[in-house]
Amino acid sequence: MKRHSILYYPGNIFLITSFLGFFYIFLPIIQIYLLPPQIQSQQDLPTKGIFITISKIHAQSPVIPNVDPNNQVVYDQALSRGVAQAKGTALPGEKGTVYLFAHSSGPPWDITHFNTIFLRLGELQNGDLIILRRNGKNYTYIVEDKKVVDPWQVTYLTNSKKPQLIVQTCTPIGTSLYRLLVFAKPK
Amino acid sequence: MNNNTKKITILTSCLLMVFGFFVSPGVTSADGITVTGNGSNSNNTVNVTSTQQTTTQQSNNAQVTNNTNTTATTGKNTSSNNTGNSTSVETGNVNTSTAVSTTANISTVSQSTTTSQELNSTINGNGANSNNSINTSSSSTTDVSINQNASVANTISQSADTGSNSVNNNNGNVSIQTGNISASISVSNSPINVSNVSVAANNSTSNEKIAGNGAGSINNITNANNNQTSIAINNSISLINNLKTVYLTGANSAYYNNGNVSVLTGGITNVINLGNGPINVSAVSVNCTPAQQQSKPTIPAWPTPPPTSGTSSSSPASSSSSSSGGGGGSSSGSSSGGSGSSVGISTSMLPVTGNNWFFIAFIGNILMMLMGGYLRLRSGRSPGFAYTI
Repeated sequence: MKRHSILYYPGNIFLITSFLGFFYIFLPIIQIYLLPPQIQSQQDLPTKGIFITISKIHAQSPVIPNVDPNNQVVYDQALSRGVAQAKGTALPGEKGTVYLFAHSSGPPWDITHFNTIFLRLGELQNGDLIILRRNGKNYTYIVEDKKVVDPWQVTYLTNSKKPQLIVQTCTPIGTSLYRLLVFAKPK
Repeated sequence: MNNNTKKITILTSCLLMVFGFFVSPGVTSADGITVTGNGSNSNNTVNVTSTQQTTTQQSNNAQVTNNTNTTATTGKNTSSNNTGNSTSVETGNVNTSTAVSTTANISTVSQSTTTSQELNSTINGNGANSNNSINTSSSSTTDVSINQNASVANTISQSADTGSNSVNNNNGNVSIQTGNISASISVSNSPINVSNVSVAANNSTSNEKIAGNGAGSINNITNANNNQTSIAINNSISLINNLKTVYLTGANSAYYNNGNVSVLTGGITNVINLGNGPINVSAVSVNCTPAQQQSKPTIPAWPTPPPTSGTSSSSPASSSSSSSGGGGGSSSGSSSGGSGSSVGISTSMLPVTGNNWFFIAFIGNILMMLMGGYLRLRSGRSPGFAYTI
């Protein structure tokens, strides 16, 4: 029988654990690409409340209105339930900028459907459609630009007069280094 | 390079390839000024000056004179020396109307956003004890001057007569019936000397970042914005409305009548509408969006190896435009506007929508895999503590 060093076994344990770890942390992401969640038609959505639908990236979620963007505890709770609408910005159908933000990634043990709703947000291109539905009425926006900005570039959040939709998430995936902003104008 | 080193190198390469897969696709980023990669003890300065001036002058002068004279007569009939049978005079109705409308000196100045720019200033990666500075200044001056002078004189004369009939020396019955008069005058002096000025001020955004510079370095970013808007509107008007009306359905006469005399005069209906205004009205709108500045605190960092030292500067840019127009009234007013603010919410950082735990777990698994591989490789060459089955 072949002889092995005692290091052989912890080495195997490390390898197996790492493979399981990869499987554990990438499974939700692989699922999103291979088995994307089904998008409901706008008519099937509840008539009460606000919902966002981005068909291209299979993202559909309720929007939690009036979430304080200055309080991480508050918006972390909101982001576990859907996409947050920054307090002080416009709601769909109102004049001004609608500012929405949601997670692109989260802790491996806490990646849920809503936590990674904007995982594929960077795939959006100019001309793609984003539909906001508020109390049964649809508001369609067309993507016209996207930018990667530093976290302290808050001008996009504070200047809220322009009639547009800004959707924010973090980039690169798995970090909170920068913010990816997608700009869309009303159709 | 031994086998272990080769394998570790291969694994590391695989790690980098996998990591590269997650790097986000390139997207648009704002232009800016960057001072970077300068050597130790170097002095680096960037000066940017931008000047913009917009001048708009309009002078409107109008002189309007309206003279109307309307006369309508169905009376002034005479019948003399009538005898015998009845004499009857019946005059017809008069409908007369006069309308005068004056419009003069309407001025509109609309200036869209003069500047909409985003300036990112960055000082990073410079060597120790270096002196780095970025100085930007921009000034925007908008002058609007409008002079409106108007002179309007309306002289309207309107007369109607269905009476003034005379019947003389009648021996029989006399009957006089005059017609109705329906008259209207409408005078409208509107709008005169009306100006509408809409000016959008400078709309610029600046972001400053100082990071990753060497120990002992002095880093300074200054940004000065000066926006001035001056609007002067002078209006003057001389307005005279002179209306004269004469309406007559009576003043009928009958002389030496031996029979019955019947005089029936018609009614008079007169409507005068005189409307003055809006006159000398100015609407001024100055939309200001102040430049917002956000700066990240200086982060102490390790010195970056300096390639070279140098000084760079950019030349100032300026532009100017002017326009003038003619038109034609009076009061005076002036207004001026400076900068304002329109901020929906205030915050110092965009919401955190990512989590480093994913990246940390990924790196942890990579390290664990490398460690496992290393132990497996090492176990094959080192006798160590072994046993036999």
